[in-house]
Amino acid sequence: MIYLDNAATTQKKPPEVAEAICHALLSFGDAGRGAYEASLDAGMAIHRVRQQVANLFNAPSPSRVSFSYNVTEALNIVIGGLLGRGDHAVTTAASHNSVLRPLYRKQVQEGTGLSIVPIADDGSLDYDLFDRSFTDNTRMAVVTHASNVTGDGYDVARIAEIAHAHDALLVVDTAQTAGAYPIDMQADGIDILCFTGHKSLYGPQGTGGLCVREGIEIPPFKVGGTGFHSYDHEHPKRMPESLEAGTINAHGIAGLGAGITYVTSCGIDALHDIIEARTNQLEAGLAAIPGVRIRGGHGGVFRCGIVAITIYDIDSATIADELAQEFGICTRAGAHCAPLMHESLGTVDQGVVRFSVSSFTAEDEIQAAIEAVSAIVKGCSYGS
Amino acid sequence: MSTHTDVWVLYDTCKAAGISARIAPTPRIADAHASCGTSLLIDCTHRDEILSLANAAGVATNGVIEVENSIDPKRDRYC
Repeated sequence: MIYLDNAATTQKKPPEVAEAICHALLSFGDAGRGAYEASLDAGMAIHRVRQQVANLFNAPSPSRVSFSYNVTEALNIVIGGLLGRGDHAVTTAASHNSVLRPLYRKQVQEGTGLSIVPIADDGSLDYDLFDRSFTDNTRMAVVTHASNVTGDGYDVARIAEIAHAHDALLVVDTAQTAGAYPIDMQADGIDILCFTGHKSLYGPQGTGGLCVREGIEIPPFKVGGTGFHSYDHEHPKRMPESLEAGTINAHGIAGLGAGITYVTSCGIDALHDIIEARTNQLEAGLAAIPGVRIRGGHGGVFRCGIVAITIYDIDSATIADELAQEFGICTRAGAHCAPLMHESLGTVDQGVVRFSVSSFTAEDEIQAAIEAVSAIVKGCSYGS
Repeated sequence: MSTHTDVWVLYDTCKAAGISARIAPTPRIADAHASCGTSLLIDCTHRDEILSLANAAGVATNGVIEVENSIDPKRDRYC
């Protein structure tokens, strides 16, 4: 199998990640429920990973890092907690449904205003248009750092300047960039950073979270047991536990910690260089095949490891299925939970075949994928 | 402590300052509302110093109480 669906989840993980999870499974008690060794081991692991996350993104402190089930839950916590009746939000057409659907729900249920800034068919964002989309009551801008369809990465520092000039918060969805591209929350002016653990941080599925600037208090999204203040009717309001409830996924977080250790020991710049080299190799090879059209990828200020293609007007599902069944190559077809990006690209009917690499992707795997696409094109009626 | 994270932050702070401390269940006499929460056991002689460190580290405490003969650094595997 050649796995090229890393934008969905990284399938190959550093061995230390599985080892950390196994160790946790065999030794952890419930964090914060006791002061015996098994509980303290779990609590210590969670705290250490909070520190790792804070260091990785230059978040204000570990106390401003809350864990969640994934980036979607983190975005729901933020949008659900901070936006209300009378507020307005700005996002872009590059957003995933993890951003769009919580915003749509606010629109329908609370009448929250929403402006969606278009993306051009090359994947680029018009920052002046973005600026003009703010209103007097804009509470926040929620943007994706990089498109999960094309890989186009956006200038968050510039977006932060615009948002702050309008007294709005900047919330960034780093699903495609956390671990794959350097992110400095404070230098970039990010107010709230939402991340997932199972992609380029190489942690297990079921891990993610959010980093929140000092001074922003988000109401609890879910409430329940915390292991302290048990007689209070209200869930504690102090971060990070205010945004967590019930037994935390300590086993998964231990694995996430090992993944972050891998990323930081390799160096994000070094990992990004590998991903960029594989992406460029893949794009050059695919672009040379007659009938293949590269979709986006050059409209951003950087690019994450994605190459999106269409082949003539063939359904992307047909191509992806052929790649999987005949060549053992894993890609993702269809809409990628980013409907507005496909409207921008003009690929709603056809979808795109998305190839996405990780730092573990080898050059010969890329070459095999190029040859497979070439063979598919030659075998179809268009290529004959 | 206000949260478990506050306990860990203050624990690390004490460790960095060379002060022995141990995480333990919150004594019921401290604050019944803390219930099954966690606390940090320290030698009473460090009380003012640790409160100052906690304040500097942004740690929220629910209160300080004195208990007899509970501190034993040998019990703390992280010391």
